[in-house]
Amino acid sequence: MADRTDAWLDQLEGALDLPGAQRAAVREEIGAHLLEEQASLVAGGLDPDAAAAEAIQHQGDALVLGQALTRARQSRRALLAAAGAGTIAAAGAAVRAWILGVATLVAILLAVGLGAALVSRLGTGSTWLIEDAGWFTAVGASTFVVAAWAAGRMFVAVAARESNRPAERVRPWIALLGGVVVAWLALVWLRVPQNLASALVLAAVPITFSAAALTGSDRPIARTRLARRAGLLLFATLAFGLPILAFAGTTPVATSLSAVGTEPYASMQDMLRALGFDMAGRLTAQEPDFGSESWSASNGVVTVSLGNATELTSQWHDLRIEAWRAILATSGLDRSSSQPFATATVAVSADDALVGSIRVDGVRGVSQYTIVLTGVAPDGQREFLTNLGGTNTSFNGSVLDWLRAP
Amino acid sequence: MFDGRRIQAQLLKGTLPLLVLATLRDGELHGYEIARRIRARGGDAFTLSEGSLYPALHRLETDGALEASWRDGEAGPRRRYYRLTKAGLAALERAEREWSSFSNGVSQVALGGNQHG
Repeated sequence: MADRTDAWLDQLEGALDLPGAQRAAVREEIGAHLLEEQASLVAGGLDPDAAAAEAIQHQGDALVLGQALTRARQSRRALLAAAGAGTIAAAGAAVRAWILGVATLVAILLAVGLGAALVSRLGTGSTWLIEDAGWFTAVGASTFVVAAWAAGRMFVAVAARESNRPAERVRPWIALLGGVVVAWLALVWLRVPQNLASALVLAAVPITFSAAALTGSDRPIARTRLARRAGLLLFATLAFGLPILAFAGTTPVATSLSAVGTEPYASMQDMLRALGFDMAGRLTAQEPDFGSESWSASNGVVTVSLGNATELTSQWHDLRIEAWRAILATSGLDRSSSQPFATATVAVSADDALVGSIRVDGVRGVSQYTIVLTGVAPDGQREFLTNLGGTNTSFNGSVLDWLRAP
Repeated sequence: MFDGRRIQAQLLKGTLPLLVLATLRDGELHGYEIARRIRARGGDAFTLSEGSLYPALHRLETDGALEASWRDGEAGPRRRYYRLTKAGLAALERAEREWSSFSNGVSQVALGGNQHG
């Protein structure tokens, strides 16, 4: 009797194109119905085998019933609701996982910082400086990878449950469509300091999301006691660690503007010659008197203003500002570069100043730069006129920008 | 030409949601009990196909007319109990009006002769 009923229920369960938990629930529900009906038929005088057969006969063909139940539970409205619910649940999971990732990162950074401080105190007392801000993006973006994994898994679990479809049905769509959205966010929309490491980590974000979606299950995601404790511990670390980092930490990237020094050289020309500054042109015989000169850097754009514009333009034409790679630690230029990595024209303002601006965060691999002014002399030779100074920079933009950049 | 069984099956298919909703007006019931009560009240007028009961129950649940919850049975396995939601109650009242109007109309034509105004 039980064998016959079980076989029929197996057939029914196999015909249900629903998430695993729902398949099991339908089997349990109709199984209970069959048992009660069999008991009733046996009480009415039938033998158990005949009762089981009749109860099954009342339900009809298992395959037909399974298909009808699947159709009854699946609707377009449920699919739309599932897309919405999945998106919200995935966003929530991503935020929670991101916070946990940040907390983990803070814990690791505190440990690394403590270790570095001990080594520094016991050793040479030297300090460490990370000049390429792309590394911070890479480290920070690692928390997005954690968030993407959680989002992918949660999206599949919720979308499957809400749409009453097995995970296998919703996985490819979530991996593909969600992956495209996450890729757009991570690779195109997000504009941050970049280097090779950050580009690789950010590229891993959509890949991780799609991988999580493709391996996702329609089983509810349970929070274990261990996970809750680990979460609390990390939140505590975050609560205590962030203030420590904020108040006791040092600024990791040097941001103050610094001129490329001339000492111990008598003049800028001497220094540049000594450094072997190999520009396409020559140094001017006499550095012009600019009267006033100033420059400032903001959001990767350096703005320059130099006085005595009329006098300058009478001696040189095609005046332009150039950004060169520099090594600020030695107050010198990067001798491996033979040309500027960016140039921009200057214009004469109403108050007789040469003004111009140049973007210094659009070239890969430039972490320090210096700004110089050049112009073409009457004999047609471009001359180096002055060095204004430099500071740190890093490539800023999306991963796509980084790939396209020179 | 006239297949009474076929007509009955078609009618039952269209009215099963009404029968289920009306039965659940008594309170929470599980599938077997719903089937039993429909059979008891319907008498010989129609034969309920139990294979169509559960798809109807699940569709009504998906549409928001019913809510379901599991409860342990007094003896034997646990059961899934269904109850009417507010939307289900409204759907029942609407279906009753429509059925009343429809069945009156059919009766007028099929049994009552010329009733045109």
